Amino acid sequence: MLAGCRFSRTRQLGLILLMGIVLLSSCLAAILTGSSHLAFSQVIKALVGLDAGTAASTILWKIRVPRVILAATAGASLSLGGVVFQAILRNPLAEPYILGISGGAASGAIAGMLAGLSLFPGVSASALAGSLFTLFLTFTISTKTANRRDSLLLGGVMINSFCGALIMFLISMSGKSEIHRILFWLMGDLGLAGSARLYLLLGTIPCFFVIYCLARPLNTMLMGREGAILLGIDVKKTSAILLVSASIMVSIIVCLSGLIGFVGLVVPHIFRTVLGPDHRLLVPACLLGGGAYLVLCDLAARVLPSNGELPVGVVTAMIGAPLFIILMWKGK
Amino acid sequence: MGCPIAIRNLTVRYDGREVLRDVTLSVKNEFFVIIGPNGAGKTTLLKAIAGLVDAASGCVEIAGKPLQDWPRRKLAKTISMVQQRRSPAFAFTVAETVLMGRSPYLGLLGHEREEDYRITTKAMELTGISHLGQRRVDQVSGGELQRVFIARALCQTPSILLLDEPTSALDPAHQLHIMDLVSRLQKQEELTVIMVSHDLNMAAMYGKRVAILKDGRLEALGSAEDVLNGAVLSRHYGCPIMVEKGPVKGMMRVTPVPNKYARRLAGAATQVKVQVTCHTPGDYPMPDSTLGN
Repeated sequence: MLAGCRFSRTRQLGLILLMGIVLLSSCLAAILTGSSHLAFSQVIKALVGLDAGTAASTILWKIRVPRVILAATAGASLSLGGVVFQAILRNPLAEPYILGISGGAASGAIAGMLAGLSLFPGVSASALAGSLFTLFLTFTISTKTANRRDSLLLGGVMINSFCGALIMFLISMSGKSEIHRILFWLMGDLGLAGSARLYLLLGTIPCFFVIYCLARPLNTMLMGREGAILLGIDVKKTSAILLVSASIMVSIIVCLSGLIGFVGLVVPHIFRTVLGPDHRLLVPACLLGGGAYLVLCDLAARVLPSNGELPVGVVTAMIGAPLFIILMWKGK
Repeated sequence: MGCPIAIRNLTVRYDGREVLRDVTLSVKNEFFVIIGPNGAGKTTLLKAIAGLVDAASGCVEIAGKPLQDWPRRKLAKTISMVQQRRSPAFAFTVAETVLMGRSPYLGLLGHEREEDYRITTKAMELTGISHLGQRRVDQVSGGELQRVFIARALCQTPSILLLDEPTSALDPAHQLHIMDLVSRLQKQEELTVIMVSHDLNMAAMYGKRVAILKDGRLEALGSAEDVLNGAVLSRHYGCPIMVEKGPVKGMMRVTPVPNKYARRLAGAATQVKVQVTCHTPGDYPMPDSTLGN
């Protein structure tokens, strides 16, 4: 161990364990809370499978647990997506939603849905195609213009507006009358997926694994392209693997829960401030902490309104957008 | 150790513009200095050796093997490069930054072992930054940051060390400290050191061989005494430059001469036995305002 390295291996493992406990407790809190009041003992009994078939058990396994699983996975994926984009672009403001990657995935997904494709592989593939296309577009815009930092973000904003317009255009052309559902989906909603579609989340696990394995190269990439090459990283190949993994994760989440913004901005920022920029710690922390963050945001979205519930994207945007502005002030 | 570099007919283009033209050079186990005017292609030459830019034609061979046949990670164990000042984007501590030099030696998940910590501690001691370990890299001075990057380069335990103006941000004491360190390591570990510098005095006192690069071409190559002579330097830099023997054997003093002294110096040069820098003062463009002096 070296003085000046913030965390020893043991302390890193301790922190990761702690984040795991935080995630599990938030999940438990979210499962315990809901519009139909279930007693703690009922929930625990249903969770361990003691009273299968009761209403409590149905509410739990058909509604609350799937929703919490989706929230945790979505939070983890979007946070990791933020971590990856921020490291590769060396810009703490980069994030799948802000860069327009989520918007691209949403356009692709809507196009797929309206074309009547099945969730897998049809809609998922069209969402992935949409996100990869916007990824390519954002990178081209940022490398072909002089001020990379600003053009990247402005390009993202423009791509986002374009995707929003495209989605509305597609919906109105199709004549389908699910506008209310789609509007919720556009604002990000974890209640729409339903347990039957959650198998798609399995696709994020290999992406988590790949990104965790590439945590050390991510560190060197903070030194810039040349800096990373000089430290022995094949930058082109590594960036491509990372960006595609991040896009796959984001596309899956967008397919299931719509556009949830700013998670990838808030969570990595908090952890980077507290833990420092070492990705070998940052990646697992964002994975677990991002999950917990979105589970809690979703809990707030369910509990805060006096009747009905908010799309979770409303909550994340209300936290994230002000933070984005503060970060931009600081960055200048 | 003492990994030989052979550059053959190397041409490098940026957007169609030739930055290096037909450069041929071999360097092995020595302290080699490249000097030359701004925009001469010095940094590009270092980048070409480190594999950061591709050759348009010609080739670079490291230890007899063409650069493109080297796996990236193996190359990072052989060559390390200290680039001109660059600002870190996210705030690692000084110790974490130096430790990153061990990257090419780490496994997939990248956790350091005792040996990596030992080498890092040593590199920080050698460069005099042990006391800065816990400071964030965005909170140290320019000179300290430069030494952080030199320490990181040493951590890669390379056999070839490329330095791009390593002393430009340092005060005189730290300049000498770093140059003495590199010079000592070069001899002890039989490193091949190539340094790009605008500091002609450092080039003169530390370089075993010196090359002048201008407009992408290798214009002069030889021992420090041969290449660093007033006439040659003045011609290539396009300004009067005076070279004097120092009071101690082997020491040299290289001074760019301001216009207001250049004419008088040309007259006096023969008497004080300094190497004459300019044939006639008229060789150099002089603004009217200096004519009265």
